[in-house]
Amino acid sequence: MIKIEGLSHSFGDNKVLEDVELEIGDKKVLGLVGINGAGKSTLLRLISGVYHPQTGKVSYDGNDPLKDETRRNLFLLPDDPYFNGQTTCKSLIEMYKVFYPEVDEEVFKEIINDFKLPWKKPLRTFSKGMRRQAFVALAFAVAPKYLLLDEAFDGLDPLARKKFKDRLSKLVKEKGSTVIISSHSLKELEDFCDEFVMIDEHHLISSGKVLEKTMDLFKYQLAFKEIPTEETFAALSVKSIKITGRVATVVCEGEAGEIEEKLNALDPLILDKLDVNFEEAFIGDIDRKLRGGES
Amino acid sequence: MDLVKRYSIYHFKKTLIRFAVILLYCLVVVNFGVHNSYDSWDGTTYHYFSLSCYGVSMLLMCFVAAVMEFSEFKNRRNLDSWFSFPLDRWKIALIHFVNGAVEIIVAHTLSFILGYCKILPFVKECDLDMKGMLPMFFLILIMGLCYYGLLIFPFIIANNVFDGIFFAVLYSIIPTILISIIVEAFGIRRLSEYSSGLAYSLIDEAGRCEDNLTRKMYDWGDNRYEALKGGDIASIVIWCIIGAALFVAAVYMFNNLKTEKVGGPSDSIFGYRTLIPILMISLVLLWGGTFGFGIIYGIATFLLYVVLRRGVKLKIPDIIIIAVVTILANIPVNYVYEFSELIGTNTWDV
Repeated sequence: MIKIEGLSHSFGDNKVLEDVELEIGDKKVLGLVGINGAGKSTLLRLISGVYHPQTGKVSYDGNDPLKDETRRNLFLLPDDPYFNGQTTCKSLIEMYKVFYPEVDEEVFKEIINDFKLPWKKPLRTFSKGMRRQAFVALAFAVAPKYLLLDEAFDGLDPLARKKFKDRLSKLVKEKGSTVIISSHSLKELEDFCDEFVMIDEHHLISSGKVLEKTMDLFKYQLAFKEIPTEETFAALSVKSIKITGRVATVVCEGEAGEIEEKLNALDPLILDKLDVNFEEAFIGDIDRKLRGGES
Repeated sequence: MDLVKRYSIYHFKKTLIRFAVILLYCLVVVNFGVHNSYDSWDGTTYHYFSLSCYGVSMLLMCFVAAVMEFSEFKNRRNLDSWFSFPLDRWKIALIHFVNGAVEIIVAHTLSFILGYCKILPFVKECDLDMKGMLPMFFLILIMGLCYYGLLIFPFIIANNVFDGIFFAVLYSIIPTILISIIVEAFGIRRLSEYSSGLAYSLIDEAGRCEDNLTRKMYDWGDNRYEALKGGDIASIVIWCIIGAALFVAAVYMFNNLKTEKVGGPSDSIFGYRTLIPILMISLVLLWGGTFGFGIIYGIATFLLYVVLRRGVKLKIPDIIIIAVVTILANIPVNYVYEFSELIGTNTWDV
């Protein structure tokens, strides 16, 4: 289990994280979302021991990540990983074999061949996506107990994303790995993470299980004779609302029958039920929190 | 095999080409520097032997080794990988230090053997005294390794490669300037014989060994080991201790390195903030002030702060230092001379 307690970090006068508390259970895939500059990479660097926490602490089953024994079970894939002008896929795996002797070279070769990446060509000649594929392949070859991925899947083509997601599920299932993956887009992560946290205004402001959230949420599109306002839906537990002219799209929380009964009472011209995606639920949740309501 | 061993071997292999270049450089310097001869018009062949080339090559080798071994830690992007690897920071620093030290030892040893072989055929002809060669080998090597250890400290406290090189240069020359001021101000002429800083002493000691080599050949060498006093040995020992202490401090700093600051301006108290005032005020004190001309010191100080702050937006302490240097440099006074006169230690007129 990864435990983060009272973690705060600033860069000079610029506060990045404040009093972050988080527990990530074993065999979980946690999505870490936030806008660019929110502090996702900083949090991952603090979790991996690259940065020393200014206050608070991080522990892996009670062990300090600043100790090398703890980091043996940990692999951080930064958003812009290190390689020099001569680094090739071949030299990359040789280097990582030094630090992670248990690395499975066959897995690495299999992925590299699968994506038809050149084995002996310098990484500097690769496209950004190809480089990312090579490094994600490395992460799967190392197959650590704790895998920290910083925007690892962002910018990958849909086929590559699908393949990596399948491998990630296999890694969690077979090796019992715990994964933290960051992204600026919830859409990138919503189909394979067990839990999400979002960094906003230096804090982790929302977390929870995806399925639990989406199961209690219902999304409707309604058209009215008159232009509606937010007050029109006051009787409902609204998670998010978008009004465009006489058309309103609402995401509500509660029991489906009861919600539809209340919506019909508003006498809409049209009432359509739509699918809820997690991003809407998540953003709605954050909106409510920021307004001071309950999650 | 444990990780330290595995990484040491990997790192050594990775740096072999660089090592080959350093070795080649040393061999070339020694090959062309240690012995030269020319025939005069009357048919006499004159031989010249120089062991100072060992001091010079050691000096540059230490500088290159320190910069090359630690420059990859001056890039924040690299540190994401380096510091998340399962190897403690202090172990990484130690492995890189040892790798550089091994390169220095091997290059120095091979160039010593080359030099020895080049001198050997002339021992009888030129009546050379070879018994000082082996002590010279160890003396230059030990001083070199301490200088290498000393250089790592300024390089570690810097947040980028440029500042690291700049700090290393300042850490090499500032002791010589400070010792010169003490010598002149307090009239301790002997002190300059004992020490003028580790970098300077490296070449000086190589020169002493050169005088020993040719002691029978020439009778004018005044820097021989007969002239070696307890103070010289003490000076070498003190500088070795300083080098070792600074290296230990460097490892401590590296272990507690604020990764987030790497790549940005260097703000260590042991960096620009202290070095610029010490350097500029020392130079003014040593060379004295000249009305009008002193503005050059002020401009130089300003430019150093511009480099430090990466712009012209200076802080109040920077402006105070620039003002102090400019004022001192424009007062036409030989500060050190006047001070020695004042306290009665002036030996200039003796």
